[in-house]
Amino acid sequence: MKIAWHDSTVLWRIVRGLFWTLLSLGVASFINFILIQYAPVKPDDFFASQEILTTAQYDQAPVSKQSLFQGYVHFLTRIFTGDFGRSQLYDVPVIDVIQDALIVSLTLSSLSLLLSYGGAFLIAWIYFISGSMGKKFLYGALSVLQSLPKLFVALLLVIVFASNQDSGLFPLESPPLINDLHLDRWDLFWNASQKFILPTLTLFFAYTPKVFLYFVGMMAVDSRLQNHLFWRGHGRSKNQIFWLSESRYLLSTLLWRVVNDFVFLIFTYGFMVEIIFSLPGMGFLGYRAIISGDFDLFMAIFLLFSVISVAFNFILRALVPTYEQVKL
Amino acid sequence: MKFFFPHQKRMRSTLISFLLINGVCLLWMAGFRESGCLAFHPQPPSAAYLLGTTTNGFDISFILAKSIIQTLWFLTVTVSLVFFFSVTLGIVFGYFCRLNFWVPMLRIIEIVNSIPLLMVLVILGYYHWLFWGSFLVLMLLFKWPLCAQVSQGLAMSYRVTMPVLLAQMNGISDLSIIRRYFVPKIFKALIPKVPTLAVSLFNTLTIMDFLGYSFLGSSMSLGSLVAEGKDNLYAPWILLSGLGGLLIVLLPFILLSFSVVSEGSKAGERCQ
Repeated sequence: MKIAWHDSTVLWRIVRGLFWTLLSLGVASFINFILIQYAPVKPDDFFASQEILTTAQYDQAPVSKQSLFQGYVHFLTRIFTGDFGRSQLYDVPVIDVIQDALIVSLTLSSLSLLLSYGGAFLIAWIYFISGSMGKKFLYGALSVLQSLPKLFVALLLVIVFASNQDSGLFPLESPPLINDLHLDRWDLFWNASQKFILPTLTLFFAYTPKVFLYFVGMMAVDSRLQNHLFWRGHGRSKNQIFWLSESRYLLSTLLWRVVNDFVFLIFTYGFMVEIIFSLPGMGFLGYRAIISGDFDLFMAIFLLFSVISVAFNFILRALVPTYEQVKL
Repeated sequence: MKFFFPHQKRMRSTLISFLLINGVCLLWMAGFRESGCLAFHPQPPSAAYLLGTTTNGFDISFILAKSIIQTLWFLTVTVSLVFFFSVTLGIVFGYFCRLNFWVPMLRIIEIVNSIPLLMVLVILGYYHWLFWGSFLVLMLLFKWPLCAQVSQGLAMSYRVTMPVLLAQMNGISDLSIIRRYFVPKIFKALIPKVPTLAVSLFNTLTIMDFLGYSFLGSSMSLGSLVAEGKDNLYAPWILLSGLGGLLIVLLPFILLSFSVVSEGSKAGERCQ
């Protein structure tokens, strides 16, 4: 049945979705705001055993004379007028700092996500065409790899590639300053991309097993097994069945997890990987903002996290009517 | 208690590994004699110090034995609590669907997921508000969606099955139906989620340790050992020991995931 945009159910779904999205954003940002407000922000005072002051008390800002809710509304008004404040840490507008960091984080997570999906898809293909022993081996190996802590994977890579420090490949620290001004585009690209290699590899090894196990779960659904038996009965090989039917199904099911994966890679895995490899993305920036008490920068990162995660979910809910039924 | 352990035979390996790790660590700690700081440089593995020493001259094997027990027990307790809490919540919200009208669980999950847990933990850790109790509460608050969503979905599908409808028509109370029908079925179905939950919690625990916000005891923890190893790559035994320790802690959960998978595949073969 064709669903028209003037259909009341579609409109109602969108209005309801918008309402819940705004409410979710409001609640999430309010919780973040409370956390920041009650966190003591000057580490030096704290370690000098002085009286611990909250952000509001320390700044003696108008916020401190208001109630918590008024302070929150004041903050939101500032945000809606486009004033994200100024970073104390970098002494530039917060929006500028976030722009740079966001590019790094988006590059890292997009690359890793694409590689993970590609890798998992290829392994799923091998899994599908292999015999029972091969299936057991692949499933077991990937299960173990999935169980490994991401810190473990990242540090194993550090050990493996530490010996390549001298050759200039996979540096663990930022590349040294080059005085030679005759750099071509390739050199510039290579210098910029070197920093991404190990973090991307870490995220690839950490995330591919997750996606693969998801694919295996999807292939084991009753309807897929019946489909498989049907085509086998018609004399098709496993390889043909995979590329004709299973591949399309697997790729279409990625729709249900792409948003969560992306947000997860940026803010959860990315946070850890960026700190380990000192990559100046959102996670690393957030960490530095916390330990230096940079309220505006930190609040902007928190808010961005909430906006991305809630808004992406809203878009999917609006576009795909059965999104939540599948999630359940 | 049978429904908590649906694959008893296969789960013996998990239990045995858990007890074995604890036993070996306890024995090692009992037989350990502290000889104080050796020197301010790391010693490589030798007969006297099996896994070498840290940069401060402490015996790595003792640090490992102590921290593995602490981490393993803490992880087990946390995983159990989060699992029980989330599954119970999912069952209640799935069975009493009307509740979702007043308190929509998916929206709450969305709100919970839109708060960066690691950053919240770093705030608490940085200002010394993080201890095992606060960590446990935060894990309960932030990790329950992992199982609750699936549990709710299962409960919603089971509540329209024939046995449940018949029981409701015969006047059996909701609590009794949940206890006798839903809880066993859903716990069984969600046992494979336990290793995933454990890995997720362990990831959070290790990264906090790694960043220096350890709260399990006053001595060095696994994550801080790994962090020290990363900063002193010229002494690779520190990092390798730390990573080995991480693997040992996860071993019971890896075995659990294997046992569930192999049990599932055997059941599949029997069906065919």
